[in-house]
Amino acid sequence: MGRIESPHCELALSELLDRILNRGVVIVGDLTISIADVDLIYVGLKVLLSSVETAEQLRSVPKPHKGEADHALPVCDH
Amino acid sequence: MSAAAHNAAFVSSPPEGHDATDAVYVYGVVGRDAMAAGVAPPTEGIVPGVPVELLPAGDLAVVASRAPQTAFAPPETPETSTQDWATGRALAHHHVLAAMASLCTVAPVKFGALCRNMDDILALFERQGSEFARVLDRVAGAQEWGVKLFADMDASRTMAENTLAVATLKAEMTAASPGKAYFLRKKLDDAISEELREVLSRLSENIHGQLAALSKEATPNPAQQQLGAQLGSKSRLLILDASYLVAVNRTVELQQTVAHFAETLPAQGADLILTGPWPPYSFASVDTGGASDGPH
Repeated sequence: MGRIESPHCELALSELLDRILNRGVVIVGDLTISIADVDLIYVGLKVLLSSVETAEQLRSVPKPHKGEADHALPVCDH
Repeated sequence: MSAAAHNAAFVSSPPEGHDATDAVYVYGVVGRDAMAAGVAPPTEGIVPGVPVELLPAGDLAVVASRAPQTAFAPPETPETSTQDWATGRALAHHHVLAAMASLCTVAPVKFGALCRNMDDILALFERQGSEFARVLDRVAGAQEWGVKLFADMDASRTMAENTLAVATLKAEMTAASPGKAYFLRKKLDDAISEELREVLSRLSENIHGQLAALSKEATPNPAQQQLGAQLGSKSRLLILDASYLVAVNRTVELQQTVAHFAETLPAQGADLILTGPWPPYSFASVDTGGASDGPH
């Protein structure tokens, strides 16, 4: 069946990280300095996704904009 | 006037409390008109307590956070792992872009773009300003949606086995001698595999075709190699994985189309997952991707 998933569903989270980490305009290399090892995030995420406590762990990730954080994000219909 | 001088004329000097040597983290780029329209960026970005700003440069404005470079480094406290910290920052990057995308057209920049100082921002716009402008043109008035279509292999195989070609072979096999039946068995296996491929490609092409028809653009998602293990299994195969750039005024049409699939797909043993709207991450390039491509 068709459905819309929120970032708190495992699949949507993996889609989200895939988009953030792999897509978007790439700034000319020598103008940026690295702030995070992207591979490291993947490793961390894989652990997160394979954990049965995924949902609980996600809820503990601090949100940058409390109260309005989800207004522009996909909604879960289940 | 050189491009650098042109840009320099528009870049604001750092406000009180900002050191000109502050590093600048770039989330994305918006048109200068968004600034003129009074679009208010989120009050916090990837660094706790540090606001998101629109820094004008030429006809564009960069969505950025400014802070000393050390503020962008992982904390050296034992209670937070670097992985958790980095994942949190990546999600914060997304929250900023999602908030901006709900207010105006934004060209997302790939996560992790930290420039050393404002001079680097000037150099950035001198080199890439026109690229950003083209991306903004490309995604104006549209949102990105993600689609994943999974096929239940048992149900698909049943459908393949019920096709006329397979049924004919089965009837032949029942009537054949043991030797010929063995030969026909192999032929039957091949026929089922062939029909299965047909069933699956018809299904994904039909759905991709209808979604692409109401989109400005469509692009297959690059294989998520490191996450791939999460995305399919022996019994549930990912047969369509793509992003669609859909004009905001066709959102309802998209949702109706997906709702229609929701009613018809279970009978075919398939499961369609729609995610979005996303900031246009998958359409934020001008050189690669983005061509109206078929399912892969």
